[in-house]
Amino acid sequence: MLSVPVEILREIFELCQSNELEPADHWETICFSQVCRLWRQVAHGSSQFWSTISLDITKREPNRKAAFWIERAGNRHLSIEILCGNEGNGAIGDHVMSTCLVDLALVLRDSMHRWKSFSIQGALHYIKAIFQICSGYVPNLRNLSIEADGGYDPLGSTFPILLFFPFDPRPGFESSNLSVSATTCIPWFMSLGLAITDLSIDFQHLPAVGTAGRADQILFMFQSCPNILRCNLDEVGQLLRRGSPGSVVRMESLSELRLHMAEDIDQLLGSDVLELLSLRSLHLDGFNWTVHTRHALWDIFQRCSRVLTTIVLTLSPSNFCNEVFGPIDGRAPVALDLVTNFTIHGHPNSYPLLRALSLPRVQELVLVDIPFHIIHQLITASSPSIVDLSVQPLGGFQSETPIYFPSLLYLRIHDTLELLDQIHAPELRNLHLGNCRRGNYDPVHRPFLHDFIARSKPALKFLLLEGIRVHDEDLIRCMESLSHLKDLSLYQCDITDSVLQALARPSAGPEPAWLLPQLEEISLLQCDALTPRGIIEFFTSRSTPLNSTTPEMIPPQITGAVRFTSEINKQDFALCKSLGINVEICGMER
Amino acid sequence: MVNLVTSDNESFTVEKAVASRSVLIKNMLEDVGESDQPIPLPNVTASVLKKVLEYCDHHKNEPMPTSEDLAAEDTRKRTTDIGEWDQKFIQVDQEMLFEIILAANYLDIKPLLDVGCKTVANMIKGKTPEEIRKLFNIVNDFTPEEEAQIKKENEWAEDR
Repeated sequence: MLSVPVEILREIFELCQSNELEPADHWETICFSQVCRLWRQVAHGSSQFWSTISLDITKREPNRKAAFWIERAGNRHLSIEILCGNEGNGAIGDHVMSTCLVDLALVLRDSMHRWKSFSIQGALHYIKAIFQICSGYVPNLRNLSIEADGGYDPLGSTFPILLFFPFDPRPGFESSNLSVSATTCIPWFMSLGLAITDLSIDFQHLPAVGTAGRADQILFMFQSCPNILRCNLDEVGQLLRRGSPGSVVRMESLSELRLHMAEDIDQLLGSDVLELLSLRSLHLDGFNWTVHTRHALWDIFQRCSRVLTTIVLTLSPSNFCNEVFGPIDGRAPVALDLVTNFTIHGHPNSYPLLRALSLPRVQELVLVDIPFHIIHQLITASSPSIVDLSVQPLGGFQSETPIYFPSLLYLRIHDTLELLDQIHAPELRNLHLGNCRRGNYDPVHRPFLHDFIARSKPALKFLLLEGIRVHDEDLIRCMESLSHLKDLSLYQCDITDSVLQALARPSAGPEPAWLLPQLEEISLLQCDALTPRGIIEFFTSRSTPLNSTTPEMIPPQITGAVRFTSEINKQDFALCKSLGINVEICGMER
Repeated sequence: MVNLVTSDNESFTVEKAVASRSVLIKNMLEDVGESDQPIPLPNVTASVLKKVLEYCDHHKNEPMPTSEDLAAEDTRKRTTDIGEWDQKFIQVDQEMLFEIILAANYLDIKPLLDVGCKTVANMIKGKTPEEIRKLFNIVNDFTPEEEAQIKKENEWAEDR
């Protein structure tokens, strides 16, 4: 081993530290440096091994460890991870912790110009203790992560959630792709804010009391980082609720905004709060649909109509507001000419806005819980560009002339399956029909699927029917026209073995032909009228075609999954397995 | 065909495609041009060359790593995963393992060098210094001062 050249030994050490799944284990470096003098020389002489420094304040002398690592890292940029722990770390007194933090901060301060990534986790006042000492220029910083955690009374109104950053990017500097993430605190960046392009804050566990002032604090945070391109705020709750109006914050560069669980988005998105001029992507998840929300969105759509490309508006399951306000706002219609992705989970307060909206270039459109007449209006105006359409209409259905979708490839319809009668999509490749709200389902059977296939003649490759009442003979008639289908999924459908028998062998006659000749995958999930015997015969037949079948007529091997709702006998189970079928029994693990 | 002569004076006649897995030999062939002259390999013994040629023959149809591939490898985190055939191939005694590594280094066969280094990395990962010394028969040659420093370093991993 000692005959191996130094560069190969270094390569081996490097490999020991490389792991895509786990962070570098810095202890390996220390271990190698303690084997013999040569190994120590190689480890100490390789600065890259020492440029990532993990420090745990609860361990002995983290300041000396930091100094040891920093010295060996030479002039390399540093990635520093500090774990402070919560207040009252077991037997360690707060005084000891504070002294230790000061000693560590003094060591780290001298290397700030080399920080590339800095992350710290622990009680906020420990984090503050570090930042009180580490102030200065951080010209190479690209990632900053602060995770403040427990150890305080969540109802305590005096909890110090504001965190001042004493860092400076560098003199006369503007923006440097600095990404900042913070948890359970509201960071104020001072001049460092100029460098920030990505900001992600998780407000979870912030005290609920005194929230009126929090909105201003959050706005001040925005004010301190005017060059943000992407912003993600999580668990916002009621923190945006403001006591009194303040000045407008201009965010000229912000192009992606994502708010999760924010109740009062109008308090942030209103034109009198944030001035957004470059917003391309807006993602609101779990918000409160009020008339104020509608007005704020209306304003933002109008202001950013020439840049917005993606809009996703989804509600929380409980949807905070059920109050329905007046239908007409007397506002101008909005044309979002560049929007290609639009998703909305509807609410009565959203309907006036949707009626005023046009999306002439939308390609992916998801409309959930929207009245049919609004859906009809939106898809009619956008039909030439739509590639992917998902709809779950609300309420009554009116018969209309079918709408032509020349580009539609993917279609998902839930609950109001009659909508299929309104669609003419010859290019469709992927169809999913679902009937989740079984209580609302019109029991009058209509062969809507067959009518659609007869009208559009799509070369479908994937078909999923979920909770659909479809007669065996209708489905078999549909299959006769689906010669390109590769994947069929039937979930909670009331078909019987007759369908499988039709699929199991070629038709009789002078020119025998298989149904679904290109089928490669089939899923039969909780279709109670199917028997194990019928399933076994189908798979057996498709995997061992008759001897008389000519080679060009042999269909592809089928892989399959079957889920039964009740126990089947052991012999059938074993037979299914031997045919390569993935078998599940509801509520049981096999 | 190419004729290779080892340090213990044994001759190996191999396909050009196999020999050219070695960048050293490939460059020699390009420099010399078409020639029947044997290529001397003074740093490789016959038993090791036999093993190296077995590797080269198995991988002869694979594309040679380009300088871009090697540069990309430097920038991304590497794993110590080894392919199935390579794993079986490198199941040799420790002496042969290091001989193969040295030969791969000398002959400039980067993929083989990688397999060797990864094998050693997997052998030492997670082991204590004492276990590593025992594994490779390495003598602890630290001075008392260095031993004292090492003791301090180990305290950084301990709780207060």
